[in-house]
Amino acid sequence: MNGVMCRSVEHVFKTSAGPLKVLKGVDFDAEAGRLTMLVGPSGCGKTTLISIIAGLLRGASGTVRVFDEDVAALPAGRLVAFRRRNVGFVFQQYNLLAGLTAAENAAVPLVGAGAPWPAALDRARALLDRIEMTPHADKLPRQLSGGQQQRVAIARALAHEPRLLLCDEPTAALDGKSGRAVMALLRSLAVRPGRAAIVVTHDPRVYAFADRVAHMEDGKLVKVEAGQACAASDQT
Amino acid sequence: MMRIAFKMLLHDTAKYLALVVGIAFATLLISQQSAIFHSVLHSAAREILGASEADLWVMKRSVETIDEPDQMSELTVGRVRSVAGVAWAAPYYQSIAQLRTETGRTKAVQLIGIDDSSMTAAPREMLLGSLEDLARPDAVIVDAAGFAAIFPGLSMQTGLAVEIGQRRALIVGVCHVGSSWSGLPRVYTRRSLAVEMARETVNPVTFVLARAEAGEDPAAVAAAIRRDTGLRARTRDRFIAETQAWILKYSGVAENFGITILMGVVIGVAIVGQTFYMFSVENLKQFAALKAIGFENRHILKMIGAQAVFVAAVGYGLGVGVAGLFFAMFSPSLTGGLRGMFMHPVIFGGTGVFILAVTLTACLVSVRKVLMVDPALVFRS
Repeated sequence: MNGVMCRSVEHVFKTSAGPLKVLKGVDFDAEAGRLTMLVGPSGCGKTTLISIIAGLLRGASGTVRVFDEDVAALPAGRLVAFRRRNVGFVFQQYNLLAGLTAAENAAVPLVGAGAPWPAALDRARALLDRIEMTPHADKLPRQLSGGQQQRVAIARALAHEPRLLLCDEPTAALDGKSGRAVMALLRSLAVRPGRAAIVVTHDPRVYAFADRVAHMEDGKLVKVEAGQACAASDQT
Repeated sequence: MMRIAFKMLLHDTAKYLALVVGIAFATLLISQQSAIFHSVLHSAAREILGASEADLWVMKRSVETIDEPDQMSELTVGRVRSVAGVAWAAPYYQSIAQLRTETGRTKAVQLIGIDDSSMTAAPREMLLGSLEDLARPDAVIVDAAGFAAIFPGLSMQTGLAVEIGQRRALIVGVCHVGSSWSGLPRVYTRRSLAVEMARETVNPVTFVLARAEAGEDPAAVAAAIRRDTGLRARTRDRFIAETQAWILKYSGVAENFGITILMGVVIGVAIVGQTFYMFSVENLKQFAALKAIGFENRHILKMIGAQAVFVAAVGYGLGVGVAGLFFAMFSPSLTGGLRGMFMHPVIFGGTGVFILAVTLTACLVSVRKVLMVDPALVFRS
């Protein structure tokens, strides 16, 4: 089952130096029940592509379907509601709300979806318990390590059971050990039947956690391979 | 959602305090200065307000305010009484006189001569003695603040002899009245005695106080007095307004208070606007994350609006509380310059409405940036 299907996606940014084509006809698929990594050097268009898939960036040409919904065709109001229901995000800089505890941060998407605060908090605490963060549930982000903050961000991304999980460089701010622990957690929680997970990274140490690795270069998808194979070739 | 908004607001303690203190300071300046300004205007018409039994004031055509009395013949009282619609009329005399104590200390005082028989316009709140004592020979009543100014260091008492206009006077009572525009001690006595103390050669009155008959419109009766006597006749409310308008026009008090109140407004707008703007800009990425997660602009607007109303309410409460404390401390004083000053409910409410409007405006300016923020910002490190 295709979670995400992109065909001939092109996107142009207007810059002071003139139009800059960052995506040049990308065909990309992310299947449900699998973890797909989108890798490539900085500036190759990975983040632009997931921004378009999430509906955060509009104006691209081509086709972008997420669980058979044409996100480019959705009006702005419905797109926000679609994102609220179906998409979870994990960001490189965590982007946790500084004034909220770990449990409260994890509850934010549920509150945004209209859940009462106590119920949202209960669900968030249960999630934090699953990722062994219960002792830190009432701590503020500044009281947590980078790895712990990213675990909370993962809990937040999955709190509302989204069908699509988008992670942007989730290990970039972490040391190797923490990065691998975060990826292991991500894989154990995110890979579910009916849920597609896309991880943007240029950290070769975590390729092994992927089912598929899609390589991008200069705005194009140049190669797709199995995660283990990719990790092995990177080792050599 | 509101919980998230408040936690975001309260987490940044320094900015939250800057917002609250800024709003409180602006509230204090605006409400306290407005209240003092209003009280000063109130005090300018103190004698008119005090003579509440009269709803008509009659004076010479040249007189514009209570503080520039001009003499009229005592016969004027009878002429006013004879006008149709007038229930009663009483003479009133006012002038500045020189008071000398037994120790030789001199002081200019405002001498107020009230009607010997009806005691119209007599002080209402006696602290020592009673109004009936004014019937005694040479009797005068001094206001408490005036007593303190005439006899510094001496406790309030009756029985002291003074000289007013080279005529002996005996203090038989001390009354409490609010501060006046001139700030001079006020000495109340019978009009017949007052004109002697002022060394008048005739037996003048400076105003005639009157009341319209029940069911008669005081404004219509004032017009009838003007028509029949050729004098200037004003309803009580209009005379108060004209006296206050004169003060506003010629004293510069409006400009002075206006500048301070304007400062409050500017400080309020500047501090609140700037701090709220900084608060919003620094949280831009957090708002972008909320938008990416699926919060709509209306949710964000509600959150920022709630933050604005919250800080406005806390800041206003603090500011108006301090202003209230100020009046609670100084207003009850019997002798202080701020005695009798008060905060009118309109100032209390008006300042609140203004502060809320300033805070919401500041919030609207900063919210624009938040509403326009690209949620894709969250993908930029």
